[in-house]
Amino acid sequence: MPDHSNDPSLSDREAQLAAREAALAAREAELEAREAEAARAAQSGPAEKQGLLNNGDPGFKNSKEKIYDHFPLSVHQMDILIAVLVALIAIFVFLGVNHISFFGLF
Amino acid sequence: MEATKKSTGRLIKTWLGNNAIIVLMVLVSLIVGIIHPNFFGAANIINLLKNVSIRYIIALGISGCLITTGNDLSAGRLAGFAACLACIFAQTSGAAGKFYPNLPTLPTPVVFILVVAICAVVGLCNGLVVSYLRVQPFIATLGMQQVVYGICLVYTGGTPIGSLNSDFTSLASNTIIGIPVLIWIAVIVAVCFWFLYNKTRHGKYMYAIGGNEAAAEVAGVNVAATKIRIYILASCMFGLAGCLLAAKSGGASVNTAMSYELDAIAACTIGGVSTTGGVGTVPGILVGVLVFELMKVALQFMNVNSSYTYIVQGLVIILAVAIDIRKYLAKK
Repeated sequence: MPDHSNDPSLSDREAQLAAREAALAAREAELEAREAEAARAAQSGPAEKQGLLNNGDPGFKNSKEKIYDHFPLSVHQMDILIAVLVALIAIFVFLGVNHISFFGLF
Repeated sequence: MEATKKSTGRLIKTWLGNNAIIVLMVLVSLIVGIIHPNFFGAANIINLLKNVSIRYIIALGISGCLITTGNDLSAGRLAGFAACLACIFAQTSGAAGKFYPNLPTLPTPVVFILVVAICAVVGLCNGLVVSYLRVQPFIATLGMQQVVYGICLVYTGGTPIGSLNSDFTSLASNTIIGIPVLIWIAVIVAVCFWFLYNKTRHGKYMYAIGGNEAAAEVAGVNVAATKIRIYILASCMFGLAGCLLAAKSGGASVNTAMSYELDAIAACTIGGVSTTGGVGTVPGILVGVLVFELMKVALQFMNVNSSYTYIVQGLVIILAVAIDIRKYLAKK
C-alpha cells in the first residue's frame, strides 16, 4: 500500500482542518459568552428604551436623575420622611372630617 | 424554599414601592367605600370618570410642555375662554339674551372646529414667544394667561353664558354602549397621544429636547418648530376640554376652568412627568389625574372641611415626589 503520510497536500489539508476546528471552537466560545451576557441583561430588568440621545449608553441619566443624584438623604431617611408625610395627611384628614380647629390657627 | 420566599417577598416590596401612590389611593377608596357605600355607586363613578376625562385632556396637553422643560400656565384660562366661546357659538336660536341674535344655531362639530382653531392661534403665540423670543415658558404663558382672561372678560362682559342647544349639551349626557361620550373622547385622545409620543418622530424629538436641548439641536432636531407644534397642540387640547366642559355644565363664565392648569401640573407630577424634562408617559398621566380626582371625591365624601382639602392635596403631591425620589435612591 502506498505511504501517503509524507504527501504535502494531505498535511496541508490536515492543517486546514485543524485551523477550522480551532476557529469553530473560538466562535462557539464567543456565542456562549454572548448568550450568558444576554441572560444576565434579561435578569437585570427591562432594557432602557433607546432614545435619540441615549446611544445605547447603559450609564445614561436623564435630567431628573441627575438632580436626584445630589439628593442629600438616604433611603432610610426617605422612609421616615414618607411616613411623616402620610401621618400629616392622616392628621389633616382627621381634623377636616371632625371640623376641629388646628390649635386655634385655622 | 427559603430563597423562593425571600425573592417573592422582595418582588412584592419592589412592586409596592413602584406603585405606592396607586396602592394608597386604592386603600383610601376602599375605606371611603366601606364607610359610604354609594361611593362605589354607578352614578358617582361615572361622574368621577367624566371629570377625569376633561382634566385628562388638559393634562395631556400640558404634558408635552412639561416634557420639554416648559410649562403652560394659560391652560385653565384658555379652557375657560374656549368654554365661553363654545357657549356663544352653541346658543340656541331665539334664546333670550343670545350673544349674537342673528347667528343661526351652529352644528356641534363646527363649534368644536372654530373654538379649537381660535385656541390654536393662542398656542401659536405661546410657541413663537417661547421658541423664537426665548422667553421663559413660565413667564410667557403666565402673561398669556392674563391676556386670555382679560380678552374673555372684555368679550363676554363678565356675564355667564347659557341657553345652549340640546345637540351640544347631549354630548355630556349621551352614551355609546353604556359609556358616556366624554369618556370615549378622552380615550381616543389618549390613544392618539400615546401614538404621537411613542411611535412618531415628533415624540422622539420631544423627549430629546427635554433630555438635552443643546444636544438635540446638534443632533439635527428643529427645536423651535417642535416646540411651536407642542404649544399649538396643547392649546388645541385646552380648547377641546373647554368645549366638553361647556357641554357638561350647560354654560360657562369667565371663571370656568380657573386654576385647572395647577391641578393638571400636579396630576402630571404625580403621574411621573418630570418638570425637569425628558420623562413622562401617557398611562402615567392617567394615573396621576385619577389619583388626584379620586382623592378630591374621597375627601368630599368624608365631608372634610374644604380648607383642609387644599392642605391634603399639597401633601399628596409632595408625597408622590418623595416616593419617586425614594424609588430612584433604592434602585441606585
